[in-house]
Amino acid sequence: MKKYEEYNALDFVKDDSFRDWVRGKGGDEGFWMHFLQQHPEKKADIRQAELLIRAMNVAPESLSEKEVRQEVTQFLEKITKPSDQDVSTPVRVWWQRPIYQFAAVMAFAILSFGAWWAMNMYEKTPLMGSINAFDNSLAETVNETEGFLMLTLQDGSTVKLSPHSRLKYAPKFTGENREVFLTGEALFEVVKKKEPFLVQTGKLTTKVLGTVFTVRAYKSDNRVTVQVRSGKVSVYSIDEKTPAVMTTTKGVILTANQAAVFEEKEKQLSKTLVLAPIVLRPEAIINHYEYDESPLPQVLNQLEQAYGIHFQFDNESLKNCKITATLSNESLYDKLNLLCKITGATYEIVDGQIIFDAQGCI
Amino acid sequence: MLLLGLVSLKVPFEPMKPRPKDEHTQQLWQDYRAGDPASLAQLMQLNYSDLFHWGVRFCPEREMVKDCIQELFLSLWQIHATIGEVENVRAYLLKSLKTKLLRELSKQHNHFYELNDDYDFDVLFSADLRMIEDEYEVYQLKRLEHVLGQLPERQKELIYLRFYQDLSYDQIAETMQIGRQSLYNLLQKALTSLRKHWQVGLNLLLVAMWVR
Repeated sequence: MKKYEEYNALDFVKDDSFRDWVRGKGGDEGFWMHFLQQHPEKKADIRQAELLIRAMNVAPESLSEKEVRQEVTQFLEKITKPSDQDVSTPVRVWWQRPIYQFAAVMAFAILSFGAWWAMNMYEKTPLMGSINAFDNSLAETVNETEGFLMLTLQDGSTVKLSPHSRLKYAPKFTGENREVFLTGEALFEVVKKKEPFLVQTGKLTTKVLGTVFTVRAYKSDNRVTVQVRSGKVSVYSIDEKTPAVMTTTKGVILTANQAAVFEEKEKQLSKTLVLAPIVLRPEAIINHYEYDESPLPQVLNQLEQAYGIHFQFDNESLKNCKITATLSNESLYDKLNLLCKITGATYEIVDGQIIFDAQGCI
Repeated sequence: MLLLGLVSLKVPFEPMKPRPKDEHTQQLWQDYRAGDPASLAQLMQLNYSDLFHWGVRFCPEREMVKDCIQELFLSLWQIHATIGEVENVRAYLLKSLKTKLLRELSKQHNHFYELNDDYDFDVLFSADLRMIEDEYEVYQLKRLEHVLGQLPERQKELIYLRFYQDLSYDQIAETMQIGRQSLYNLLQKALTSLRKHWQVGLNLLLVAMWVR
């Protein structure tokens, strides 16, 4: 905590939070108002600092969000879609590189574009996709390109729409829920709000308050999957006979690195893990994956904490299994396979958990 | 009286977004170097209004500034595999845009603008007087505004970078592509001019310019 009560005018001018407050940006307004009340003796210093900051004011240029968006979109189009004449060096497009395919879910999260797609989505000049007004005032965005399409909903949530996918949504969310309708695949980065965010994919509803997750519901797949990158998501299937009412026939709650699969034929909703779990808490790997005669339960506990995935195993029978190995950036599944190889164990993913089974070591 | 003025600060001046955190920008830079176009696009988006504002100081033609920003990022993308670490991404971008714009302008006007040469830098300091009640304070601010307007352009550029772009001393030196000593001399000149006209808070100004 900074000792603002000892600050003089100079210190205030130098303070980022203070400058932002004077300029009316930044979120520490409550703090500064409170500070003033608590420290009336600082008013003169604060006043002086404020005057100086005000004096150096320069008016901003008029530049709309839309203009910025167009420029960025144009740029992104140019670099991700090289023109046909440009065949001298066949470069692999970025998402064809193995590392990206491998860590798709992770890449999705990094790729969130933030607010630049801006709130007034429906004003957007369609550069990569097309938007049609929909009968009941729903907007629809269709991604007919081979690349991803970023869009920002009116509540600030961002959606990365995969190729050949469409999303219907209200240009302005009203009512109790923020509801969108998806065909195909999309990664959602949902802004936390009081109103739940619902992704409708026919028979499956995914409900969240604020989190990052992918929903995949291509018609050709005959299944719907939901993969969670962070936060908490509830997924439930809806009874076909009463589609209007949200009758929960079966629901699961997913946390980070967990996924749900809904098989359309069997109408079965099951819980599993995402294709490429990511490390949620790197600080849990205190020894940087270097194990020297470490008991297996200790290794598993570390992985459990790092990935936030629950492991089930019998402590007693595994404690004599000693691991000497150096792991690195392999996927979680590769790590587990390696551990299984060393100890003669097996593992399976059941209900979003990993069940580790071994006969035990001598 | 004083309190009134302070309470008035609740009124937002301009709906400006806070700048992204340095760590965030650095992360995007690393991802861009690793070959992720989306990270570069995000860098472009996050810095766009600052870059645009900066560009218009050199060249009043908006479309030309936009084109230069576009070209700047395209050329950055072309060299993503070879470009190195950059200590401060924003200062680097501002510097690169300035170089590009001045080069472009010298092509158009058939005149070669050297950096540190007498290129135009158009900035208008307009003190934020909103909700200030005290007439003497208004007078002080108006006067300072006038004095600032009279400063030579390089000095204005320095003050602009410090107060509008919120750059640190080192970042200003990098952006203006001058050494620490030249920057210090420039600052001293600006302060001497200001001292003649504005007594109040001058030491404050000195330190505010000097230390971050």
